[in-house]
Amino acid sequence: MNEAMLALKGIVRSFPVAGKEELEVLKGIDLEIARGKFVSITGISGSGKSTLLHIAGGLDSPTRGDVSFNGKLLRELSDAEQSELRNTNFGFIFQFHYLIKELTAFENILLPSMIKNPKEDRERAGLLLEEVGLYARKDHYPNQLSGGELQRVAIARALVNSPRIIFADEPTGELDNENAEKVFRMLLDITGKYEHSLLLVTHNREFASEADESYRLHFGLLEKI
Amino acid sequence: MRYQNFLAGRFYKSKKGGFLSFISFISVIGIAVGVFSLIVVLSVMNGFTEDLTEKVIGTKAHIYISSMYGGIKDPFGTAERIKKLPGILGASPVSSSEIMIRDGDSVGGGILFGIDPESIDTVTDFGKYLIIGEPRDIKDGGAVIGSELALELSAGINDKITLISPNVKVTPSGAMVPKTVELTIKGVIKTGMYEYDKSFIYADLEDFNDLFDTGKGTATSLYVKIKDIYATRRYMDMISPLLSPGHYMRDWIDMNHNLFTALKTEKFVMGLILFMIIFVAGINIINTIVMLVQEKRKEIGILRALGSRSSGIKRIFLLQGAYIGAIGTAIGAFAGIITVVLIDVLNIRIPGGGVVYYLDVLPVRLKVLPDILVIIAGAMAISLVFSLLPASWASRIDPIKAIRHE
Repeated sequence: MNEAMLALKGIVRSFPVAGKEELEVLKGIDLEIARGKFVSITGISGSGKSTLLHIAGGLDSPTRGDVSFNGKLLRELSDAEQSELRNTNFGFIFQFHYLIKELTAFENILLPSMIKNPKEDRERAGLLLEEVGLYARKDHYPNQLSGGELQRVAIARALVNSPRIIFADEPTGELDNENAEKVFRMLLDITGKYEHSLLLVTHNREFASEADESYRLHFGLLEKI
Repeated sequence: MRYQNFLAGRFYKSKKGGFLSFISFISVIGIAVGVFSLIVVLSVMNGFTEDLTEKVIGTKAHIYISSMYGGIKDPFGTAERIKKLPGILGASPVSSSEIMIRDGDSVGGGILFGIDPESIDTVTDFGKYLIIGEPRDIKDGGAVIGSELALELSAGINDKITLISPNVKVTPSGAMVPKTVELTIKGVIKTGMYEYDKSFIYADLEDFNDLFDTGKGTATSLYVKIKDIYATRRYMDMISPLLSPGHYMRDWIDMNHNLFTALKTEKFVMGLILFMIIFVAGINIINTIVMLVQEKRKEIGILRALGSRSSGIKRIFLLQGAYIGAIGTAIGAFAGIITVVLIDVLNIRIPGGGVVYYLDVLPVRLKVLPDILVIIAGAMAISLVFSLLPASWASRIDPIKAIRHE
């Protein structure tokens, strides 16, 4: 295995539950993702897949354990440094597209680039729109696009800053089979083309099986499949 | 373009329709009404103060020189020496004292000014306020009386007026009777200050000296007019070495200290009360932004995931307050300035003006510095300070909770 780009060590995440002891969702997860690799995680609903993905992406903090990216511990980074890391090295795709309804498809894709630098990379945003087959819809607002199109725009948005790793949380969960297949293939093609690592959380075993490494989250622990 | 400005603009524009739009509109209107009221009211108060100042110093001097030992012995010589100083526009001897005016069987009070008709216009606006006659008409037993006094006495040009001095003379029979003088009305003055126009009488300085036995060629004071009316202290320091011991000086600010302090205090309190309107509008801004933050929780979460710093989120919502403040201030300032200009151009008459109030028309004076700038800066500062609270709250929203909120 190549040297780990993203490493999770002994990740524990518990949540307070009213009137009861804390609920431990993740019970000591170790996971390493190397550059350009595709890692999938499956598990039943409520097993903590999304929580694990959020912790790996620096959106949530573990109760115990460490997450490091290229050897740097995330917990030692300031808010500004963590934000910069998410902006330039991480890309997020969620089950729901979460596009900003006040912006066009093109502007939504451009947004991470604007956050990175006021002189945004419009060329790359346009290129990605073409790659997801929506250049003709660049000036359309989210309410003018279909579910599959929205998710394709979300993929392009996650890729605009050429991140090292894409965190995809059930990206096809809201789509019908045909669109789900189309979106998944597109995600694989683009991440493969640009050598992005991909951490995919999904219910779809077929998609999960195509990963370089597949895991199942079961009772708070990862089992390699 | 900075993404915060870009998103803030889009979020602001997106509030079309609905309760949030209504609250936002109310906030804008609140700021606008506050700014408008402040500009109009303070401009009227400025106009009032300036008009009053002009009238007060128009009929009186900028600097008064008096003597502790009765009158000034050589007022004309002293005036000539003072006039040679830089920045001195004029110096003229003036005497004044309270007198009684006999009108048939009734007697009323007044103030008699003994003036030098040749030089009085170098120190006051006496000639400007004369509605009938010329300053030189007071020579040889002539008098100029206030317009209200003329009405009260039903006196006209060339009518006789009898002035009674508090000084007494002893008759051959040994009786003590007040000194009187009969003057011919040669002119009427109207300053617009009711109190002045109702009681002021102007006569030649020598007629005054005869009536009061103050000695030929003397004056109770010397009026001095200067170039910069707010630098009286500097001029008084320059004049002081020219005066012999026993003379003292007072300026127009000292003489009218209570009046101008009251005006200044009134303006400050009025400004403070009107700023409360903007303060209340500021509270509306908090409501508007809290509601917007609540509506945009999901977007806040996704922006954090895309790499926006918490300070970036804060700026987006701070800008919402800035937009409300800027639009409200711009509307208020525009409407306020237009209103002030219209009041000025239309010469709006005050009901009862000239009788109940000393003014005939509503005076206005727009002061960009400091008034307009302080109002604009104050309204913007209140908008931003009140936006800070909800903007800080927005910046602390947990991205995961925000995304799951959906």
